[in-house]
Amino acid sequence: MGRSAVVGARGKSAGSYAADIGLHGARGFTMRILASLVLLGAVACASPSKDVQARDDGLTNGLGPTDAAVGVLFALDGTRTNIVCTATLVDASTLATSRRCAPSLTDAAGRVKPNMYFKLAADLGDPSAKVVAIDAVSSCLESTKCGFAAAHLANPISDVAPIPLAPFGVTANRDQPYSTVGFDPSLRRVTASALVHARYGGSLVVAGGGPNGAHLCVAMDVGAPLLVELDGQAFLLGVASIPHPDALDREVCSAGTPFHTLNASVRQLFGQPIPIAPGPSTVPTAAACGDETEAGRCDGDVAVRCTTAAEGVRRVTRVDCAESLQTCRPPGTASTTVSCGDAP
Amino acid sequence: MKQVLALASLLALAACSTDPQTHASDDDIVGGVDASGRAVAAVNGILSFDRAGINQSGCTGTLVSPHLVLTAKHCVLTHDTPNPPTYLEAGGSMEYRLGPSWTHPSKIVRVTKVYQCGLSTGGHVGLGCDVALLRLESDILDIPPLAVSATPLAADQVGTPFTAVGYGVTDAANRPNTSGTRKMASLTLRAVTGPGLHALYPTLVDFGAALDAVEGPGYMMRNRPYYEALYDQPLLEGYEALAGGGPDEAQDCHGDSGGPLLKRVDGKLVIYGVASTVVSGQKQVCENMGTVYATLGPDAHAMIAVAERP
Repeated sequence: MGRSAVVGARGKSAGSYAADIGLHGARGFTMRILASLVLLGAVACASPSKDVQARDDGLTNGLGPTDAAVGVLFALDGTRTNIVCTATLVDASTLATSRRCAPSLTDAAGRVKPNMYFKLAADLGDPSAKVVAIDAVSSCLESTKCGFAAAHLANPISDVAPIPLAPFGVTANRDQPYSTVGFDPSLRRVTASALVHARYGGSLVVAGGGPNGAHLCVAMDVGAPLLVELDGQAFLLGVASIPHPDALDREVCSAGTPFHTLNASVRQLFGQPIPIAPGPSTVPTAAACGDETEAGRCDGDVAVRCTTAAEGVRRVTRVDCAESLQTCRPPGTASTTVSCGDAP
Repeated sequence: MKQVLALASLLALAACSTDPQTHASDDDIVGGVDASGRAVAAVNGILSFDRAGINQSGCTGTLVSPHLVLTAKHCVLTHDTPNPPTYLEAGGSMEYRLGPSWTHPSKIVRVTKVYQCGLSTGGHVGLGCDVALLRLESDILDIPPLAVSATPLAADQVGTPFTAVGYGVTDAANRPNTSGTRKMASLTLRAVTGPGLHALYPTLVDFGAALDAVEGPGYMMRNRPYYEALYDQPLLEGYEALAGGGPDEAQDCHGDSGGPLLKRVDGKLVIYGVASTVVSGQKQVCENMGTVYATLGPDAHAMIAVAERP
């Protein structure tokens, strides 16, 4: 699994988002953030506009329990599960993440690789973590104008309130209480303040950093949301774009995180249907097992049972215990289900 | 890069276990059953940790001497780069966890050294000979090790029964908490040469129909380049074999990597291979299409000989 994450931030339960965050992550490059911004192209080349006006729209301080819609995109890749990016549920079937994540999710033809998933949990190690397959990804064609990607879930998530795209843009100053959400090294979700202190053109801000500011860094934090709460409703304003996924240098990250922000191109992206829809499941049901039960039975030394719904395709399997010098043990002896073991 | 491409086209079987302390599932190797007998006590779990102490992967390994564990090469590699270091080289650690559950092991023995099988390119996971040995910090004397076959799998063994043992995930969605319990399955050896999947599906259309039956209509066509290349990929002769995939055979999955392919020979269990990779899907993360096993040819025996030197 890819390492990365928000380091040192307090979990939400701490009740404060004035976190001292630094992220560590992977390995390799140590280029500074200015160089990173240059790589963002025309957007980054624009002069920073720090004289933005404070909003007077009743923003509340910090966020409520709104980070529940933030999770990770992960790939079953090679030897292990690799977290690719952070993503935010913006409606029941759609995720917002960074455009930089799209190449990791799709093949050369733009189709989603068959092993891509979204995991939604406060603790990614939680056995009850919600996991849903990704079946389509779209991103903007013009990278300098839009740093977002939209991912479509194979099955909607209806029991978690999404964080919709904000109907307004970023017009904040240093006093504006924006927030960002990431995952710490123990893979627990944390929320931290991310004050916007620089704006580049109409589609990029730098937020976080500074002595008391939060900042994200590298690897799986790419795609992390920039959030704001208005009248009790959280809105998504941006997604983290971190150009050097192997940055190790804490100082690099403490300069703040560049976030791609909403603009007309982004709204157009999310206003269109994401191509490619999944076909209906044809996985056989328990009826495929006939009279065989999930607990199973012994047929001599052969353990016979019906697979469970969690195992996917329902079918009858047979395991010959004698082939491995064991005997079949009926359900309720060595295990709740039929098993192989030593003779009693 | 070849290796990366190969990895992208197939799914190797190590499991990510972000929290090794999760409780074990009552489920199995997908479709398998618990295996608690002393005959398979030499098969145990392997957990690997990065230098921050975070569990990065879970695999299966078999004791082949009091201090050597046979597993898959990809289980010892971090895969952070095209030429990946081992977990030990990267400053991490590896543990061999004894007992039917790696979450509640009867004993934990640290790994002090890793040996990798010589051939390092080609094959379904791009690592050539996907076999490795782990040297343990202390001898395990109360569990009889299993023997390694002196001869590689041969064509005349195709169609005969074998047994797979592993600690992998047991559900279609690859939830890490369902891994960590010793399970077993009966598998039939399908092929030792040529494209392994051809032995299960005579044509690409048959293969696609099997995928669509699980994943939904049109799935194969939406991902055709990926699966077409997979269907035609030949086994690396002398290094790989395909077993399982039958309608009533259980299926290896993530975490079963490195687990042994066993056969009863003269009243003893003998290891003929270690689990390497499977066909991945979306709804069914490990399709019931068999397992590519890394077989134990001359390279693997040379590695074992080196490791056994005092």
